[in-house]
Amino acid sequence: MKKLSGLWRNWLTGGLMKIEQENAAIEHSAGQETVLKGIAAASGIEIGIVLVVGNTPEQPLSFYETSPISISEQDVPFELSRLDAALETTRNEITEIRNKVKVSLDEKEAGIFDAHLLIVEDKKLKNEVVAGIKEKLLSAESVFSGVMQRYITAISSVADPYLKERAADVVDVAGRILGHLLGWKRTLLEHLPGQRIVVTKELTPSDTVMLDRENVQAFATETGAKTSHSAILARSMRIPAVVGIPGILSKVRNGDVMIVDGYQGVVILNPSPETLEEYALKEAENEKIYNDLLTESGQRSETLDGYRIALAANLDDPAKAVELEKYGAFGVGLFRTEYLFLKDHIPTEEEQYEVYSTLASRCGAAPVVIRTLDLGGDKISSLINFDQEPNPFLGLRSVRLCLAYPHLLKPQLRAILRAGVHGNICMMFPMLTCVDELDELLRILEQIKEELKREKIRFSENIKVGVMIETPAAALAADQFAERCDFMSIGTNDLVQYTMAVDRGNERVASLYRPFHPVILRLIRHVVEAAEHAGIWVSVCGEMAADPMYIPLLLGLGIRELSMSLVSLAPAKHVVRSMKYIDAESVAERSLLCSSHQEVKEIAETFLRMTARGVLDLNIT
Amino acid sequence: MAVKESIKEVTIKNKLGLHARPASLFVQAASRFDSEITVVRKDGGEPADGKSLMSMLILTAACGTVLTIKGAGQDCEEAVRTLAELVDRGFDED
Repeated sequence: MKKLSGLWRNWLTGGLMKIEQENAAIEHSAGQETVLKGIAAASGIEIGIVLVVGNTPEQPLSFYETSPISISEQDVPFELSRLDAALETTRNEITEIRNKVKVSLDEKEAGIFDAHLLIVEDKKLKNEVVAGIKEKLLSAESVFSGVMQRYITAISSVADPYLKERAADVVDVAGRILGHLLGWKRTLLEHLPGQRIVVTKELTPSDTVMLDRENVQAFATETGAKTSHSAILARSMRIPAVVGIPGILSKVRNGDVMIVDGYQGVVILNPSPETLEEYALKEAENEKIYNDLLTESGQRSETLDGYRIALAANLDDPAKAVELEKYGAFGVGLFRTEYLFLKDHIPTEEEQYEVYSTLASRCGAAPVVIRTLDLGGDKISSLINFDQEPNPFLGLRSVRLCLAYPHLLKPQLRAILRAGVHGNICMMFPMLTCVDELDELLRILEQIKEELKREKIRFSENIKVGVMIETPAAALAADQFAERCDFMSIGTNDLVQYTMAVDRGNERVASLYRPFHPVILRLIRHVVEAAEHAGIWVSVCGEMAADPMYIPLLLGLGIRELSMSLVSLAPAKHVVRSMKYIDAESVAERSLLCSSHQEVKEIAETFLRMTARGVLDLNIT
Repeated sequence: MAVKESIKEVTIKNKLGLHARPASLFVQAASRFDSEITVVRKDGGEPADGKSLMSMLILTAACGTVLTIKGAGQDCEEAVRTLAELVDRGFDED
C-alpha cells in the first residue's frame, strides 16, 4: 500500500487536525482531570494526544492511493455490490449530517452537503467506476481511487485559489467512500496524523499489520485483558498499554491530552500541570532502570550457581534480527509467519524462502525456530475463506487449517526446508492436540523432501522438527510427542487459556486466566519430564517466559530455554543472573504443592523481591 | 424529426467560481429537465455533462470564465434559460 504524498497527505493531515480540534472544542469544553482505571497491560508511561479509532466514520476522513488489486471475472458482481453498499452507506451518512447541520445552521451552509450527496449520486462517476471494474478486472477501491484521483488532480491543477481549495469537498467524499470500501479502522490506523495515543475498542491482529507503528505512543482499549492482542503488541513494541477500560470510548475525544500509565493500569484524561510534572519524573526514572539493564545484555545468561539458560527472541519481522545482539538474544525461539499471510496476497514459496533465508543468514549459527502458519481463532486473514464458526478458538485454526488446506502448508514447508541451507533453521508446528496430526505432518514433510530431491533443489535434509505444546491434550501426551520430534516449545498463552477454559481477551472472565495456577505448573512439569526422558530440548515461548515473576518458577520446573520479545530480554537476563538454580528448584517444588494461584504468586513474588528487586519495581511486562 | 437545441453563453460572476456548492445548484437545476445539458468552456476543453457534478467540477470555471450552455431535447429552451439565469445571478452567493 503506497502512501499518498504531497497535497493529499498534507490535506489529510490538516483535515484530521482540524477535526480533532473541532471535536475537542465542541465536546470537551472543560478540562477536568479524570482518572480511568483499567488493566495494566504493558509498562511505561506516555503523555500525548488521543486519536480514537472506531469502526465507524464518526472520525476523520482520509483518502489515499491503493496499489491496484486484481480480481477474477467471477468476482465482478461482488465488487459491484461492495461499491453499491459503500455508496449507499456514504449517502445515508451525509444525509444524516446534512439534517443535523440544517437544524443548527442555515440552509445555505447545509448546501455543501447537497453537493457532497451529488458526488455520491453522480451517475457518470459511478458508470466510470463500474466500467473500470468490469474492463480492467480491478477491485472496487482500486478503480474508485484511480478515477477520483484523476478528478482531484484536474480540479486542483487550476490556478484559481478558490477553486483549488474546493477540491477538498471531493477529497472529503472520496475519503468517506474509500473508508467504507476499505474499512474505517484500517484506513485510520495506517495513517495516524502524527504521534498519537490510540484509543480503540480492541485491536485485531490484522489491524496491527496496518498500523503506522512509528506514530503510536501508547494504546488504551475498552475491552481486552493483559494477554489480548493490543497488549502483546504493545509489549513487543515497548510502548505502554492499558486495556479493559470500561466506557473509555464515550469519555475521550480526539485531541484530548491523556496520560497512559502502564504500571498502574490507569489513564488520566486532561491531567493537571502537577500531575504532568509528577509523571514526567516517573518516566525518566523508569527509562534509567531499563537502560541500566540493557547495558548488562552482553553478559552471559547464567545463574549464580552456573546453570546456562538460553534466552531467545520472538520475532515476526526479519528486519529485527539485526537487534538480537543489542538485546542479548541467542537466536530466535519463535518466528511467527502469520504476518506474511495478513497482507494482500498469499505469499508464494519464493517470497517465503526469501524471508526465511534472510532471517537465517542474519542469525548465523544461532538457532532460528520458524513456526508454521498459525491462523484462525482471532487471527483471520482476508486471503483465506473462513467460514463463520460459532467458536473459532475451538475451530479450524492453526495446524488444523493447514492440514485442511494443504495449498497453504506445502509452499511454506518447501520454503523452510530450502532456507535451512542458509543457517540453523528449525521448524515448529503449532496447536497440536493429537499425535496423529503430527504423524500426518511428518508424512507430508517426507513427501516434500522427496519432491525437492527429485527436482534437485537444495534443502536442509536433517532439519529439526518441533511441536508447540499449547493444549492440555498435547501436554498430557508430551511423552508420545517427544518420541516423534526433536524439540518441544510450550506456548503458555494458549495452554493457560485452554486449561482454564477462559477467553483471555474477555474482560468478564479474564481474572480466571491464571498462569500461576498450580495445574499449569503441573502440566509444564509433565512436559519437561517427558522431554528429559526422550532426551530432547524444551523451551517456553509464551508470555510467561517474559515475565520476571515466572522466570524462577519455569527454571525451577526444569526449563532451560526461554523465548520472548526483544525488549523483555534485558530484565529476564538480569533475573537469571541474580538467582541460584538450586533456589529456583525449591520455589517450583513448593509451588507445585499449592492449591491456589495466589499462594504460587506469593512465593514467586517473595523470591523475586529477594533476588532481583529492581526488575520488580520496573514491572516490565 | 431533428432534436431541438438551444445554446446560450454565460460568464461566471460569483467570486469563488464554479465550486462544489454552485455546481451542485447547477446540476440540481439541470436534472429537473428532460433535455440533455452540456457545458463547455469557451476557451476550449472537454464538454461537461450538466447533470454530473464531478463533470461540472472539472470544468474548473473560476470567476470570469465564459461558458456555453447547450440543451438538447423538448424542454431545452426553458432549461438553458433557467440555467443561464442561475449563473447570471452568481448562484445567489455573493
